[in-house]
Amino acid sequence: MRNMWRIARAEFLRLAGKRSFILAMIGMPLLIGVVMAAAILVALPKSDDRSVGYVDLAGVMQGTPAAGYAADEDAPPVLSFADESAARAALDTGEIQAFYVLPQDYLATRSVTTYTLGESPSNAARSAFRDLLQGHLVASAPAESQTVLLEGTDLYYRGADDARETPVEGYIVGLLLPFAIGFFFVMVVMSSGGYLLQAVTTEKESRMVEVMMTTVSPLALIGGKAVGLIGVALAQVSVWLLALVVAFVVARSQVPVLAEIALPWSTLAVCALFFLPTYVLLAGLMITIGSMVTEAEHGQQISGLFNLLFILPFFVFVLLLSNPDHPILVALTLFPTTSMLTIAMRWGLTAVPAWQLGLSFALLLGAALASVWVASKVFRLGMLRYGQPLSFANLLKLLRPATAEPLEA
Amino acid sequence: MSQPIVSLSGLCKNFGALRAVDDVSFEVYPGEIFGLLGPNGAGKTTTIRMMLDIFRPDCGEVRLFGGPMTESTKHRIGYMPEERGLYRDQKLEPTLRYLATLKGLSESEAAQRLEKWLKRLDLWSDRNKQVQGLSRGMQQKAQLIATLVHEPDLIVVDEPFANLDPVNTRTAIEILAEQARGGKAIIMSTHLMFQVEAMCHRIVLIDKGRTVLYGAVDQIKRDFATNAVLVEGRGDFTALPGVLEARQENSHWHLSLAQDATPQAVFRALAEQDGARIERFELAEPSLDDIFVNVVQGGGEAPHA
Repeated sequence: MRNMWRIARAEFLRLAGKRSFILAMIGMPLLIGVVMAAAILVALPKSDDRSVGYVDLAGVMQGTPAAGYAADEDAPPVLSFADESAARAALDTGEIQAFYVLPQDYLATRSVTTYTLGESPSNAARSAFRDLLQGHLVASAPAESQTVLLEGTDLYYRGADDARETPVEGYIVGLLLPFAIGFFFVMVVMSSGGYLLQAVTTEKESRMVEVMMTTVSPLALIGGKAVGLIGVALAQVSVWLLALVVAFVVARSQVPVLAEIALPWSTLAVCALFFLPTYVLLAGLMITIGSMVTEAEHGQQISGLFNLLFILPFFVFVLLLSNPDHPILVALTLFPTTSMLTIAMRWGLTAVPAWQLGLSFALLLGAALASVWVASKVFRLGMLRYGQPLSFANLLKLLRPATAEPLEA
Repeated sequence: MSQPIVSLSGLCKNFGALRAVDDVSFEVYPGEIFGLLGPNGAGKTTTIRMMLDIFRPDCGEVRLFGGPMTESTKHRIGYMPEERGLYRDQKLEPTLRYLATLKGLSESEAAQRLEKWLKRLDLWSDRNKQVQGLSRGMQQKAQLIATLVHEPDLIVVDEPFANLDPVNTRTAIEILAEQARGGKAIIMSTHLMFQVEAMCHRIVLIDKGRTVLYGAVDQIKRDFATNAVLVEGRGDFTALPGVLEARQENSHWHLSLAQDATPQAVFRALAEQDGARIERFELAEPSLDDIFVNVVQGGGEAPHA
């Protein structure tokens, strides 16, 4: 155990001390900072807090809006004009940024015309007008219905097994954050898997493996490397995540809607649960590949194909939006390499049934254990085949039952 | 004799249809330098790997320090394999310190011992260089340090003198001899027979996976000696009683003796010869190199293996 930690520490320091790693680690936050700064610089001049007007020819915006309506203090004022010419004059002088005209048959057609001097009204102006219009439209409804009509209904998906529910509303919270969390975990798994592949091929290329195998146990050797390299990946992605959080905090001060976002703890919990076996699965694959090849470059080419198996859910993103319970997505939920990301992506859009979660986790555990078993078989012999790759045919021979080390060393 | 540090009995290993090692047995004792010899592909490296638990044998038993290999046993072993290297993008001294701590030394203890070894092997000024910046000979000296720094009781070195110049070869020989004098058991695999002859107390010769010679170097040489003597000096060496053939080879004569003739009788006959001057008289023992070639080319059978 002591040696495993020593190896983990050495692997961490060896990789984390490399210039290329440090550059990659701080390069991403720098890029985020630059993009944020550019976005703010571009967005700032467009901020228009002038009033917005309307001409109500349909007579639906007279009287007092519903009791539940309250104008946003920060929103641009909404001014009423008696006719289009008055509104047009105010637009021409720059008093208002735009005005809306509700025609006489508005209640039948529900169409509203917007007049501007070229640029669309700001989001805040649009929202202010829309809220006021809604306030007037629901004013005649019974008092107990006004709040529901103004704020809408909180819809939840609930699984048939009644085990879990998820809100339908809140697209950003419901979709993007779980998606981002899933992406974060997959990034950690894949980058540490990549480092592990590199570490195994380095061990082989440096001809250190025989010395190491007569110094420490295979578990300490591989376990130490795996722990150290996941530490490297976590450090790297955490720095990136920290940069994103800082960027998010800065963005919240600029975009009020972001202030309403809360962290989806359930997504974090399910990802954390699936994270370790997913990493073990990939680690086993990377050790197997690293033991089979003779050069790191060749290993990276092969591992690229396997990495695709882990990010497959990204390719069915459109399907996810249209039907998060599609059989393909259920299959990806159950498939070990894609389960973590698929579950994270579906989490915000549907109630993933408990049986799918349970079966998926069991399959993932089984695959992870099988992956480690294959890796341990291949590692011992493959690592000693200096300058000779281990073919897939030989790999299959190696994995046959009752076959210890059947290949020429 | 003390208990053996290494004891292999009936070891065998198959790689598919190939029987790489077939019924190999030998023992290695504290304080001896033991030669593990054989032509390329004979099964030496596979035997070492089974001995050190890198491969599992298909049959037979390996006992180290009186028992099977355990994690704590590994700290008592220093192994320099034939296929060897160090982490190329790392600095020399930290790499050696890392390896030493994995062998159970504390950081400070490792640093102290490494200072001594690096100075002795003339690598002290290079300790902060990256390994890839060192010559092959320097890397090999560093590997020797990694093998010895934790003061193992069993030292296994595979071709330890490859890449070393004569000066460093002599230093390495001195170090190994010193370790043996200190009671360590050393197993040395090499093709350099003159070094085996000079250094090893006992040897095992493996050919095609099988043991074809095993025993003390002196005894093996005697076993392979033909009934012949080497004579250097002046005189008539062609008509001596009991001599079947006299052949001049460079500065000496090689005298083949009749089956019932003894070297002592030939020496007496020479001494009685008028005008004869004997500068050298010795049994014509074959070199280990000759024995190696003879056994390997002759089908792997020794007279008293």
